[in-house]
Amino acid sequence: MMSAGIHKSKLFYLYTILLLIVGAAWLVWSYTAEAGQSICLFRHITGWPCPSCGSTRSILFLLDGQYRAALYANPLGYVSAVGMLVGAGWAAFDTIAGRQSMYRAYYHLEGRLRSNPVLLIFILLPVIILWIWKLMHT
Amino acid sequence: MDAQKVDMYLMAHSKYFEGHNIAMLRDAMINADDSKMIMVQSVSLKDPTMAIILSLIVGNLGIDRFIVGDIGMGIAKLLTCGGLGIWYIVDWFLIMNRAKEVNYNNVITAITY
Repeated sequence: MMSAGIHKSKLFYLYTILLLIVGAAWLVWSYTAEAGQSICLFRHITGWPCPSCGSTRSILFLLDGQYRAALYANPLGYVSAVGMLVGAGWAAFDTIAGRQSMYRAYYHLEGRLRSNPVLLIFILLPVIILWIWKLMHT
Repeated sequence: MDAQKVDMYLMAHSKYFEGHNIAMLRDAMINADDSKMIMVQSVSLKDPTMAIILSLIVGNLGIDRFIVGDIGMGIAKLLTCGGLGIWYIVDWFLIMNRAKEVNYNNVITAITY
């Protein structure tokens, strides 16, 4: 998505920071909310959980030090947590150092995946397996 | 390339490209060598209609973004359950143009390499 006049790299960091802020705000809100709020439209419509259902709870468990519960709620919580930390740290590093290493790394990696769609299996297969496991244990 | 062949290609594939890119695409194709036509024909184009259908049905899982090649965004969308539902809706409006943009980029790349 491009806006006229803003360089693509700056947009990348802008969206990253925006995503992190929204994610953090969501975590704070979930932590202080009374009961678990499911914003998953998929779940509302079909009644079945989507692959990332429970990841919010998972991250909250992680913050609480309950690693087993976090894994059981949704292993993807670990992925999201690591992603947020790496994203924040790397973006901060790039901003301070005046470099664009994260931007370049991201698009390099994406380019590799685009030209080799078969590699996507390594990402999608675990997700599908996780989803099936989750559906069976609802 | 032969202008008539170029026009035929563009007419047959007009729905795959954004309007404002068609003129540039036509110029690039006409100025390119005839041998590039094979390259252009072999570019796999993403169907914008399919993209928006996927966006509406399973957009929460980021599948629409995976289809247009935005792997990173697809993963982010999947992990955040459609960006807390918001990105899910936003993409309904973005995905068709994104698919067309990707098509344009891919064809231009095929011509210029």
